Amino acid sequence: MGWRFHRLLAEEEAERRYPDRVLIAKLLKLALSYRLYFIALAVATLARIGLNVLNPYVVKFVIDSVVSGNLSSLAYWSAVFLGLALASLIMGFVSSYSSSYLSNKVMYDLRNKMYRHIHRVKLQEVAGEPVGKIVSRITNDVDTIGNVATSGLLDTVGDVITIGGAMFMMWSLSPQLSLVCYMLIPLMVLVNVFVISKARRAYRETRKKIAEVTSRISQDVAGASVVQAFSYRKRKNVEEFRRINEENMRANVQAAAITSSMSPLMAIIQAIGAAIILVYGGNLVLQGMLSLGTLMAFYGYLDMFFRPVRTLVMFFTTLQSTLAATERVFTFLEWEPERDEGEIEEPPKLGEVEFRNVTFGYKEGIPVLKNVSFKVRPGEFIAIVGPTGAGKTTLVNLLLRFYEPWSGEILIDGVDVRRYKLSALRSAILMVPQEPLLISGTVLDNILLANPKATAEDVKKALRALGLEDLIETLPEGLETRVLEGGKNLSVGQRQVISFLRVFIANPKILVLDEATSSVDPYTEAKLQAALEKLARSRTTIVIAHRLQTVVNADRIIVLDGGRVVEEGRHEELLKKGGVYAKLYGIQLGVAAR
Amino acid sequence: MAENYARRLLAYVAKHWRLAALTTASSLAATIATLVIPLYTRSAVNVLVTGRLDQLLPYALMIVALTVLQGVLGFATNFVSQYLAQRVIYDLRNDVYRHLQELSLGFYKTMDTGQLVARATSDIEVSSRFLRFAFSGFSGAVLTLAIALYMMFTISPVLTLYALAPLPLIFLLVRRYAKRARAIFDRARAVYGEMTSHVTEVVSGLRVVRALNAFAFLWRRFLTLNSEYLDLSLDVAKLRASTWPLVGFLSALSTLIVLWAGGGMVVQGAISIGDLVAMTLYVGMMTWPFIALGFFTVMYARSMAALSRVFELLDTEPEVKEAPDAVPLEVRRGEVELRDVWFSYDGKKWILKGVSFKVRPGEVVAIVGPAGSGKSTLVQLIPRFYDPQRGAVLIDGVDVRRVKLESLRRQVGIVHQDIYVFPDTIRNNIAYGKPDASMEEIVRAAKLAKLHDFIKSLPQGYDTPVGERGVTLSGGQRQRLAIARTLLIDPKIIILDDSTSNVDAETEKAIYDAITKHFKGKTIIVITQRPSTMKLADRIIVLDGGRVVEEGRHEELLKKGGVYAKLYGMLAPKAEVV
Repeated sequence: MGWRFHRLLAEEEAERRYPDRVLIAKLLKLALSYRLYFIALAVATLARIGLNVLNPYVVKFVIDSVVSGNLSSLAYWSAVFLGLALASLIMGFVSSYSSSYLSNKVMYDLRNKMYRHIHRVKLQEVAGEPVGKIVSRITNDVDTIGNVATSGLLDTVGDVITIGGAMFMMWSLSPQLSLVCYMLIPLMVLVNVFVISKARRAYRETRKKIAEVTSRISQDVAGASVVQAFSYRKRKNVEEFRRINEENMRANVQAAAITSSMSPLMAIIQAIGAAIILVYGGNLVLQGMLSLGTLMAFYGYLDMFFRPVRTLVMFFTTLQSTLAATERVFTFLEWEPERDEGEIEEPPKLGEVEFRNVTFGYKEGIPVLKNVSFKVRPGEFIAIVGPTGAGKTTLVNLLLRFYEPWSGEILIDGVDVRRYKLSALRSAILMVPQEPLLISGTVLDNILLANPKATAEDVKKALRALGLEDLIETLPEGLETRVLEGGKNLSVGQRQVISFLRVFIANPKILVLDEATSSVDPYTEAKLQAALEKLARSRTTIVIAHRLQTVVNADRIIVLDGGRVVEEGRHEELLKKGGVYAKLYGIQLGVAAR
Repeated sequence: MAENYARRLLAYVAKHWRLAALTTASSLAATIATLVIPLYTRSAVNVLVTGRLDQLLPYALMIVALTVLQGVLGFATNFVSQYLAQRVIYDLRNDVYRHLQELSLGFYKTMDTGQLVARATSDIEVSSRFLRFAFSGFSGAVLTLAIALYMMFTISPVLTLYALAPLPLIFLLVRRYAKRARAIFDRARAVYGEMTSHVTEVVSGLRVVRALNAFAFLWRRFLTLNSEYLDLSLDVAKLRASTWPLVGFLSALSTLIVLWAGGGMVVQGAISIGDLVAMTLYVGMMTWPFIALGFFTVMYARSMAALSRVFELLDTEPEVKEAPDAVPLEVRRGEVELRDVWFSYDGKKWILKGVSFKVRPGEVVAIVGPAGSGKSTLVQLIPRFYDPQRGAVLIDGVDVRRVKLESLRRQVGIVHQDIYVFPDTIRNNIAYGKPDASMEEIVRAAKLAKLHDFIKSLPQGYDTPVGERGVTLSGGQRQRLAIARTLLIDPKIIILDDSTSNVDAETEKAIYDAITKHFKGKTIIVITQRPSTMKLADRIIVLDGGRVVEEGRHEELLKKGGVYAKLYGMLAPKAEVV
């Protein structure tokens, strides 16, 4: 039957780079790296199967001793039965635990490895991928591998052995009767393949439908204020929901019909088996060619086929998606890490930044920066302005060495950034993005992100120094307030405060700020502006400016247009010049003047 | 308490009593078929020891027929019980949804979205699983237990007692397992969820994560979560490993007792060899009922806990309720009056302390005041999202508590401060309050809100999906969308609660010009932080600490040199340079 047979069943055929056997080999290698547990599992699983297969055989001897009235033989075989049961108990424990341990340890290690990897890979590798897909590799795909590919692989081998073992025992008891019984196996496989593949499709549908139900409820709950404002729409909403709800019910009922059909189909096979054993086997018994105990043993062996056949079919129907998950995980781990070959471990101390003839683009042949040169003195406050797409963000990407320039150099304190270790370089430069990064945890956790060694006391001091206490005070539990997903329980201003505190606490030599565009209320605005001025005081500050206030205050303005530095100077100078800056400024002023 | 919930669930089941009767009947019939089979097997075996083939055939036929019947009944039981469970949760879910539509805004403010959604989804799902189990697995298990016991007793009471000895332990083991595993699973799921959102946050902010040099901190956090998840998984593994092999062993022990003790009885001639075979088959059937009993007790408790959350939600009375003798409101002039209004969210802290003012028909009024002065609360009382504890809100002289809610909200259009955008197309978002609106109406509303040009620039135009699975709108675009949504219903009274704070000054001005022109003669109430908007108003009401402190035109108030003048002084210079 093999893989090819099931290829036909796999619904999610994706382009794959590796052939099946390579991926299976990779999985086995992964499982084998936990040698001790793997061996324990293999031994226990095999032993458990052996014991199971032996069981009906022992029952045969018990029955036969009863029939012959031999009490000592009965006692002997009963003792053997007990021994088998005890051994089964121990092996069951060992195989169950080692199987769980193995798959969980594989998942744990794999997740750690992947998580560390995501922090090291080049940003280019990640850039094109949707976030959800990457996350699903570390979560869902790893789960699939952990559950199916380690102990699942072994269980599959176990199932094959169980079937083979039962077939062997039957053969040794009565070749005639077993040949007839073997015919049932293809029938079982067929029924299972049919029902399981149909059920998989049906369940996919139910998952889709329940997601629709959930999404409808959550949007009405999350948008309760809108729902209430238009509450006369109620009847329509209820009607729409009823429809979605009904579709969900129908999908579930259909899935139920499919899975329930397994029971009569299996019963028919069982009935055929019983008929064969009783009529054909019974005839053999009556002719004295078979003992009664053997007949009973056949009953037991026939039962042994049902479960393994089912799990084997399940394994093969999911094999393709398992291998696809495996490939995604291994491809993920093959992503190229950032280059970090610099030898300077000390972070730069002064904070002088220089771009020297830098040319760079994200796609070959399309430069975003063209021969850009400028120098920022230590402690200087520089505003970078320019229309959208001028290359402002790219400058920052290069300074932090997320990308390497095609040509030219970027120097900090006169040293090429490539010569610093990445950690040294990045601990000297701190970026405040437009939308602050927020992770789940407390507000304090978020502030300490860039400098885990600081304490709550340091944060409070920073709050006072920057004059931002009252923005945090309004939080229900102050610094200990939990940040909800995406920071939705924080105001725009509070998010900015977190960003600013990070800078204060980490105290970098160079601050890069991408000004927020979404507006906050005027009170907060004034406070944040004052805090920023304090932050900029003791370090080099480069701001991608969106506000007039910032440019007016800057020591120097660098105007970027079409990937080139087109103007440079103070606000008044540039305004007088009547160039790109004056035009840009005119637009902003035009708005403001009304 | 639990009995009460069980009874209420039963009431839902009773609506589909035919299905319930059918699944119970087929479950019982299937059980009987299963239990009868060993009787025929016994006879067949007895024939085999002594008899002839023609004596065997009828028994064999019966066994085959019963096996098939058992399968067919199994299908009926399984399918009908699932069908029943689905019907029940369908009804229950509809009721929950309908109730959610009735509940007041105040309720939603106090509830966590996720938990509320869970009540309508996973908590109901738990009851579905419970019902399915109760009607298919459990009823059969109980009957199997009863009949198998009876059959075994008729064969040999003594042997039955011996054989049963190990089985109650299975019940205890399974119950312990189900209880503990559930607790660990719940915890593990929570940790897994945290881990997933952590990774999501890191991946989506990867550039900033690098820039912040935050690996050390994040790695420690991830490792903690991942290790906790591993520990919990291994706890489950231990629990599983110490339960199921033991259950298997106890079951085997029962069989062994039957074989050994029963074998001796056969040799003594107390029972036949067929009896012995039948006994082993029956004893094999006893394992499942004890497992099922163990599961059932835990599932029952869990399902009742889940149901308590569902019914608690259904029992929550909306705070804002329509009076039984409510009349439809007909806004003719559009006069709004607050008469000595006192309001508090929690009954402790007063947000509004005796607010009184009147907005004349067709007037444009701006409400201003520092953060926390009660502006948003105040306007939410007009469409009756909340009721004041004291005082009254009147529209055209009629107390809003005396009118039909539908008619009130159809004529009072409010745009909230925090905007919600449905994961749907732009067109459907705008037409939310008027689903049958024509395209012209929708476009007109979008034009008034100065959103039309942006929508036109999108490749799919008005059919562009927005929200979670679509285009992400900027704060200003979201606000304009919400304005269009409200303007579309052509309200008689328009309330804008700081709804243009993220719109640039130029566009904001254009929006207000368009609205005041298009809705000339309608009452408009605006909460704002922007001086330019304040200046537009016919009158300004200044709120501070839950009281109206000043009232008048921009110039008058400025001259007065009070709260407003101070506020304006703070706001004006900054805002004008944005």
